Amino acid sequence: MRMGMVIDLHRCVGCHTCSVACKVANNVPKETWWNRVLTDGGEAIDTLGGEYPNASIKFFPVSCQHCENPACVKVCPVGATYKDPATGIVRQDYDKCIGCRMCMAACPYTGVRSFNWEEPQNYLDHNLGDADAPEHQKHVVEKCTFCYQRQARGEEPACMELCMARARFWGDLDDPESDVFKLVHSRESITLLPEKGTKPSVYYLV
Amino acid sequence: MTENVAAATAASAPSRSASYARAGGKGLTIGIVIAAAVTVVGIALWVMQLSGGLVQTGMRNLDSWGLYITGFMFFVGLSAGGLIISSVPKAFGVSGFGGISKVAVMTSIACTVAAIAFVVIDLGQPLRVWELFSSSNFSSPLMWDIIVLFVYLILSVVYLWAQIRADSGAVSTKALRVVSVMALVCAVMVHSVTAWVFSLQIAHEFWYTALLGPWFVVSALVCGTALVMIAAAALRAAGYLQLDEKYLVKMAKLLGVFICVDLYFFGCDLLTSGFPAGEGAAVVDMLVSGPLSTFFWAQIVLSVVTAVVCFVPGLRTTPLLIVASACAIVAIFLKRVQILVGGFQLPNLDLAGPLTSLTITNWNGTMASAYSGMVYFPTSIEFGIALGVIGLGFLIFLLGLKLLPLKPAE
Amino acid sequence: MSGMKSSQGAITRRSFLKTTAAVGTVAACSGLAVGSVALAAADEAAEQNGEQTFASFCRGNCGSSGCNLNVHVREGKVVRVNSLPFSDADPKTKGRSRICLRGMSNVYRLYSPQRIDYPMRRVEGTPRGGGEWERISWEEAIKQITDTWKGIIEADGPSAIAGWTIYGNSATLQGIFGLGYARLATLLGMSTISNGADMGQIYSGAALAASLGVGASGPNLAAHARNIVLWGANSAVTWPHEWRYMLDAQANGAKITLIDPNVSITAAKVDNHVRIRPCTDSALLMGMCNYIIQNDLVDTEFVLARTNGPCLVKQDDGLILRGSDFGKEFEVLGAMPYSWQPITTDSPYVWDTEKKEAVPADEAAAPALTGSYTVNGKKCTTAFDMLKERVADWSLERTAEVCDITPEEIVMLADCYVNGPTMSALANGPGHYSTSWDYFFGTYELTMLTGNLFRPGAGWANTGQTMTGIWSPDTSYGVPENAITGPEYSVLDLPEIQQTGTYLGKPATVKSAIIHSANPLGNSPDRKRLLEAVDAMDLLVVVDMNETDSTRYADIVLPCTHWFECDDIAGFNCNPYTFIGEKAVEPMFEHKSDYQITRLLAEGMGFGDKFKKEDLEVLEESVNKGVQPDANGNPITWERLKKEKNIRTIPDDYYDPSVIVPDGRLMMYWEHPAARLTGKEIDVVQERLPHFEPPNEAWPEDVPGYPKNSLADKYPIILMNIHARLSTHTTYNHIAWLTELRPEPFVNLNTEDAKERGIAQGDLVKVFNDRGYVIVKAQIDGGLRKGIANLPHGWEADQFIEGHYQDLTPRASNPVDDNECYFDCLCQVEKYEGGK
Repeated sequence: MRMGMVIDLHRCVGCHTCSVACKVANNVPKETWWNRVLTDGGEAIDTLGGEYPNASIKFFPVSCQHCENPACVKVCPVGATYKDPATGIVRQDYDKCIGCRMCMAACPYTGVRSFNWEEPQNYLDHNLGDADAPEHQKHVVEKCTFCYQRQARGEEPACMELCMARARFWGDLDDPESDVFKLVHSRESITLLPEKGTKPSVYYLV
Repeated sequence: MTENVAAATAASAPSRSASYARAGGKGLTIGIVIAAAVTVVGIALWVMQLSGGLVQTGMRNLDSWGLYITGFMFFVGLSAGGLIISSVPKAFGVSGFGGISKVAVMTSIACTVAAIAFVVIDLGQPLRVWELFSSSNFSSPLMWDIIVLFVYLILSVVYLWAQIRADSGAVSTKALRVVSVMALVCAVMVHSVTAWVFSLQIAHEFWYTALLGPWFVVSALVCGTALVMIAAAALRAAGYLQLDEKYLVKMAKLLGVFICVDLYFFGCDLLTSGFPAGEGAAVVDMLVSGPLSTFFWAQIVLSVVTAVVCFVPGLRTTPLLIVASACAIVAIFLKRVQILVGGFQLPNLDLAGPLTSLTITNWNGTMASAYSGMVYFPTSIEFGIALGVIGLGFLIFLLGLKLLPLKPAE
Repeated sequence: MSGMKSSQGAITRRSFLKTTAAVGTVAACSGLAVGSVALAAADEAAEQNGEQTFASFCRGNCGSSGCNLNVHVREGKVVRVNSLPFSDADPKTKGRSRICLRGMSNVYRLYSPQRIDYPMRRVEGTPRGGGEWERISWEEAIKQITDTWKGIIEADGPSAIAGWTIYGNSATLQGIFGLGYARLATLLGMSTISNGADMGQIYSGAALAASLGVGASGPNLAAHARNIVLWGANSAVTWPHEWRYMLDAQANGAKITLIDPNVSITAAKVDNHVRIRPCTDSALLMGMCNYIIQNDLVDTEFVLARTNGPCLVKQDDGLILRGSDFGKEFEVLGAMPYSWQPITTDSPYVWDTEKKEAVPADEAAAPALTGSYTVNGKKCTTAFDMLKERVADWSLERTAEVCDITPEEIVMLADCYVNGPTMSALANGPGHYSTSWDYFFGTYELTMLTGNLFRPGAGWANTGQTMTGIWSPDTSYGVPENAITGPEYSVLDLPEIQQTGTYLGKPATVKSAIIHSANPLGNSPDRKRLLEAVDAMDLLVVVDMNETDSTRYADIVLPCTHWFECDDIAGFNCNPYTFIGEKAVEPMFEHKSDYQITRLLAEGMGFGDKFKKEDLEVLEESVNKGVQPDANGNPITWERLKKEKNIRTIPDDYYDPSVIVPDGRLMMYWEHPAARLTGKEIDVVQERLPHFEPPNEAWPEDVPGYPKNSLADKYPIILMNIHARLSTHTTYNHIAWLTELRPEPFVNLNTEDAKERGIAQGDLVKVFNDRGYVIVKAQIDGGLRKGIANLPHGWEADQFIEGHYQDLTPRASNPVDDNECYFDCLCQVEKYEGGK
């Protein structure tokens, strides 16, 4: 099994809803984003690049790519970042992480990993999101888990729950019956930084 | 081989060295106290960093390593020189560098401890280091490095101990030679493995090069040799030991060769990066005319100065050789900064996204503005803690001088 | 009016709601001392992970509110908000269920540091907006308000107290349709400060077509439309939850065309983009209509059957020839909701080409579309011919010149309409000018000429968003017996009223106002003048859950419950369902539901006996008294809503075949032009058909025939405040995670404009005109047309370095609709050298 995601870039309008859904469901600390919608356009987020009238903009929702050949897993000296054999999901064991940030240096996908540079700050006085989302810890590396806790309950990752533009698809990339398998095999798709040989489990339909 | 004491000065040695030793003793004690004080301040700052969080450093998610890992790289390099300088002659049975062997190894030990300390202060969870043993992941270059570093440290200590024992005849020359060969292999390994921590990362264009291993070895030789030269000259000036100028000159010639090889490697790397005019061109731009150009050009100038002083006989005076050595050390440090910051200076995904104070050091603008200058710059607490580590290195070195019989055997 | 029927069918929900709004005081409240439905039912609620979930819905005014929300509660606290799938939705695709980042951010809004916990009073002797507050009890607050009000009523009458709301909460009981506020206002005879936002759109829809969306394709638009034309819409950003239907339509082969001066995120997604000169949409429409008429592309059958195009217009008085002209008796059936156009049995006459005489339109065998005829000695011309004449000057070339586009683009656009079915998404990009009225009128003409109505895949929609539901709760609780409808004052006129003490020549004053479900002092134009007008009041009361630009300027702030702390039902929603909003958690501090607040005020004013009902009783009654059935013909009841949480009100393939217009015919010719606000003078002859003229201010360049505005030398840049995705107006602009995405306000500048002014990305700039200024950071946006700056809408005073963007926006408007003209604004931008 290799759980993966397919994102249709033509449908994506860059609304950031998946980012916020991720943040709340996982109680992601202040100023930390596991799932970001990047703007391929102007210098600032959500602005158009180029010069009028030949301006353009595209959006790339980017989080951990849950690579089949993850650069991060190999380099972690203590095995705190590891690949779940059952699902192919790249996970992070907060209790084990020594905070060396080797995985952050090794991951080619700039910014998908984050480090809690201080005591994780909640937005509110109480924890938000799933009751079983792991508690965040100071000085450890974290990232998108494909909402492992939800997956364990048979639910989809939070970002998948209701993409407004219906641009996101989720499932087992090894299962020929899954939406994701069919889309990857029927439509033109790209992965990010294929030259790095990491074989991401996140595909973008172009 | 500790017989290489300057014969010419042997006659007057006892009285003079005794008085120097006294003066040195007082100066040494002051040095130890200062080093200890700096170390203690460093530790206090480190505790502050741990309680208040690494958020106090300049490091952020997109530039997640900084001065500490630069320091680690640099001190691993520094540590090499002493050991290599000391062990090569023994290992190959050639003439050495005039009685500085033990001092040289002492610098190695001090630098290795400092290098390890730089890793420790960079860790978010230093209290979890036991995880390194309980759940070791042997595919991690960092794991390799940790193993090799410890082996290296132990071997250095053993080697020093063996030399001291050999002075009193307790260890045979042959045994010493075996230890020296092991130490030498280990020294080469430690630099290569440290290089691999970076060069096996396909994530960073600048780092991902097979050249990085040999290059690290050469850089280590450069700054190691330079450090031994400075230490030797200083100790000679302080009357701790006597050293014939010819050994300094000999080392200077080596230094000249090493720094030229280092520059050559750099040239090779820049050519390989830049020639296809692909992504690697960005690396060349970054170094030659981009945010790291100051570091790059300063390194080149200092390296050239070093080479010139080392190669022009008329310039090889003690003061100039010390200047050249210092230039070499600074040049290599600048090189380390370029490697570390340069790795983060070229993001693979530079698209505009949410920027928070935890994303990147200069977060208060756009991605483009965050990368327009140096993507990372240390904060004062980082300088303070790094200084503490350097203090620790000095402390160990000076304690070694004070407590161990490191002087050349009479 | 709600009982009124048109000849064609039942009144639509949207028009009905607008009617309610027009009545005046709107708004809502809830309260809830009694047990809540949801909380009572919670015991049985399935608990997962120690969590309970409650059904709710989004009530902010994104223009397409009504996303169903699933509120997760753990240990008495809301921990997460996600989408509540509609009850009949396919579990895999989740059907039409939806949510956006704003809706899910309500968990933050509920516990926000901006939350107001207790009734607060401005410290005596400190200025309004000074920020010095003292906590007071509810008793004190109510007593002070009602004592003041009693004094005002005695001195100036009840109309000196005004209800003031906008669209901050589109719920039935607690929101802008708030039955409590309506009841209180009509019991007292309070006046209304009427908002003018989007009135070009709303009033033109109501006046000309009974309602925007009438005759429009239903939810299944995507399956049928061949073309979708977005008029000045950035829907991919502002209605992200509706954009999927555009994508589905595209996938089905529909072509999406955008008309917008700027290259927007939406522009990056559409098939064609016509980059028009700002505010020349009505000229474009004149040109398109002319092209269609001149080239015989008119859907004659449609025009003859469904519009007043063939009706004969008497050339002496401009009125339609009717039975009464022949002395026939007629009956007045009623009036169009909101615009009050009379609906009568006085048959309009057309020219029958077979009988060669004027006959009642419904009896004509072969009505003439064009021609002038003399009837009863009066010269008459068909309405269609009058339109033809009105647009005759708009050749392709002239239109292209005025609109700064090519003649080919005009032809392409006309073809979009001729080769329907074509949906017109009439958004408010062009709706924020003094000439917006004509843009809307023009699109109606275009749609009528090409027959793009009353068939699947065609119609007028808000922004391509699909039809609203049909069902609406009964709102008669808001209009008690002996209701007194007070005067309605446009917010744009408030400064003059306060200054002169008169309105339209009659004495008028506002001594006190109560703002609810709204933040007018952060959202209405020409803010400085508005603040002066408020300063002339004795008492400003603001009811809100969070601090806003309005609460900061209040004398007394009353803390109301968040949506999750009270019970309610949907009021206005743009999806084919209606739903319940359950109380999920108890109010944390001294919050009361809006309805309970009106009860307290009513008691204080001596009407306590007329406000006996509790929140749930009012809700139950208004649901059960609602008339229309659900999509399957079953009655919608309170019990059902409680159980099912949401009920489908119209099927996917529905489209609204009904229209409430005089004579049952769409108005190609507006026989009785009337201003939205009674008493305003308008040019009747001109307004009977659309026309083009440059906007009041936003005309910075010379165009042949239309010289530039004289202000343009000083202020050469049009300032737009385009809606953004992170807030709906000022709602959600203090959500901490959203401000991480966009930490501060900024003004977007065209690349060249910035370069000319030496402004780089991130520089501080001053944006200013004679009305005011604001200091913000600049951002370079390659999508903006030269001469346009965009300061995205929704920021508040505390977020700017200095000033406020609404200080720059104008009050000048068109008397027809009294529309708020945010984009009709010229300014200058310069680098700001002062410190931050």
